Amino acid sequence: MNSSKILEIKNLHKLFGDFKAVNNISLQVNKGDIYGFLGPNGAGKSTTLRMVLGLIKPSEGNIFINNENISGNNRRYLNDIGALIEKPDFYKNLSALDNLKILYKMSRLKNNHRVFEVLNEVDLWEKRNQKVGGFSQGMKQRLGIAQTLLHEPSLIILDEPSNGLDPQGQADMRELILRINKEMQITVIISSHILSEIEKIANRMVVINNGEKILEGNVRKLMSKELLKVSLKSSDTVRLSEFLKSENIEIEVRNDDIIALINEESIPNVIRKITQKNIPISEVKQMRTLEELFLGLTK
Amino acid sequence: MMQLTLIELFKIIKRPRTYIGFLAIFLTVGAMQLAMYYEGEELISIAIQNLENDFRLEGKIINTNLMTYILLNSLIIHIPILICLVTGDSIAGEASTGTLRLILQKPYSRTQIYLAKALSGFIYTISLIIFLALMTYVLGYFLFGSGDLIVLRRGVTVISSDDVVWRFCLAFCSGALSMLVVASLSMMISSFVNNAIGPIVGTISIIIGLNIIFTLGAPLFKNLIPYIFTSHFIKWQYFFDFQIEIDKLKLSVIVQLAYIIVFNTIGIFHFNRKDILS
Repeated sequence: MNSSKILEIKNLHKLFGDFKAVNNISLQVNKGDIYGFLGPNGAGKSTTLRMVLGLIKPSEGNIFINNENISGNNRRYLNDIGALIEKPDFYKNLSALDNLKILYKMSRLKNNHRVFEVLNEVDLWEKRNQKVGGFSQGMKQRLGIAQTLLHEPSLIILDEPSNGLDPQGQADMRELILRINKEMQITVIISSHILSEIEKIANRMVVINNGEKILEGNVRKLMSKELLKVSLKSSDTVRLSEFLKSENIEIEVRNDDIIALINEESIPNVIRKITQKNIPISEVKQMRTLEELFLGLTK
Repeated sequence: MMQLTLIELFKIIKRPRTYIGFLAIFLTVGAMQLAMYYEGEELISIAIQNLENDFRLEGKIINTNLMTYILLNSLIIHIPILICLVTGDSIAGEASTGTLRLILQKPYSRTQIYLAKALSGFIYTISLIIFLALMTYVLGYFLFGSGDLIVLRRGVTVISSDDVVWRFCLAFCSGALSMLVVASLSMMISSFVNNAIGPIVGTISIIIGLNIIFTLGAPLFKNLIPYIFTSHFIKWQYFFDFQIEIDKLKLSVIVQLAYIIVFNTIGIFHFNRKDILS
């Protein structure tokens, strides 16, 4: 494995009875990334992230954190990860300070000053003795971020961190995430069902839907207007994908279609070559923006 | 492990529902003691009407020892409900409020977290029993004073006031052991569900159901009764027999310890396999 990878997921599956919540997802997150996890509600984002955190047991597949396979009862890796899953839930009858102290002690750490530092970092110092039950959604989200930073992890996972926040709150949250990534040099995985949110903040991203990976790559490249996203349907995706790879075209293979990033001018040439090689294609669809692609694939 | 247990105890101390148990004991014991203080003579004279035909009773029948003996009977239903309020909430309550996923992201194993919760639940249970003992005995002492204890069980046993304290100590220990079985049962149920009501309703339903079987004494279940944990809830009464049946008490301790181990093992096993979806 490449040493710059902080998280690698290989062929991850999760079944709830007959329902495939996560179906053969593989992806990698590099150190220093702000990695977007994009998909509609119910796509399998939270399930995948919960598997990374050991909250849900995978049915199949492997997860590596810093090159270490986390399957089994190994829990040490969790000291390297901070996470805020779905919504920031705390002990409502306790103060922000007491909540953080509990979580800090559960991280088996000794330096109590860290609790005060993170409260300052998220601007909650003044409210530290206030009960969390009286916090606004924005304050809870900031406290949620604070608890992810307590043990100085190298990776933080934020599942829909902007949920329930007003536009100003969302902007503040983005600023905070960028600061965490740049100043503290912490890798961030952020999941969202809103493309623009990921576009504004992430440098790499994955798109998932119905538990399957649709696309993964550099956000700028995926959002580029020069490269067209072309969806090709074929009954022989193996030969088609081999051909496209031989032409140095970036692709993602789904069940019976392939998403390819192709220069607009070279599309006719690529289609001609495919037909010359007798590779069956039943549909070619062009989508100029990732938004169109995302909406098209997820509707 | 010690750190985790202290954290769990801190959470219990800070939860308002923890004090419902203490408040309920304070109110019920206080109310019963006051009722007995004002109307006890009349009530007792009805209860011992037959006895007075054969014996001449002298001295204070209503005293702190009798009151403590009567109130220990609340161990069957009343105290289990109060225990479940806290122990049943420890996993299921955290699952429903979402804090369970927060603590399971920390580098402690689920077994350690379960054991810390069980241990702190046991400490709460024991403290509730100690509070019951203090409330019944100490308050009773101030209201009624001491005296010989008359026990109407398998005939009449009169225990001298000098000979009764150690019996009560062991009776409360026996009661505490029974309540640890209840705590373990509600912890186990708590690991299966995601709402705090489930373990309370589940535990009390099981206790009531088994108590009915035990009380009916149907021949079909006759051989099973010594191994049903609810049948041991009243074993503390054995300490007030003239001849204490040590063998039966030993069996009772073994059966109850076995239940504690089995309930917690099932709870840990399931908790380790559980997907946290809340």
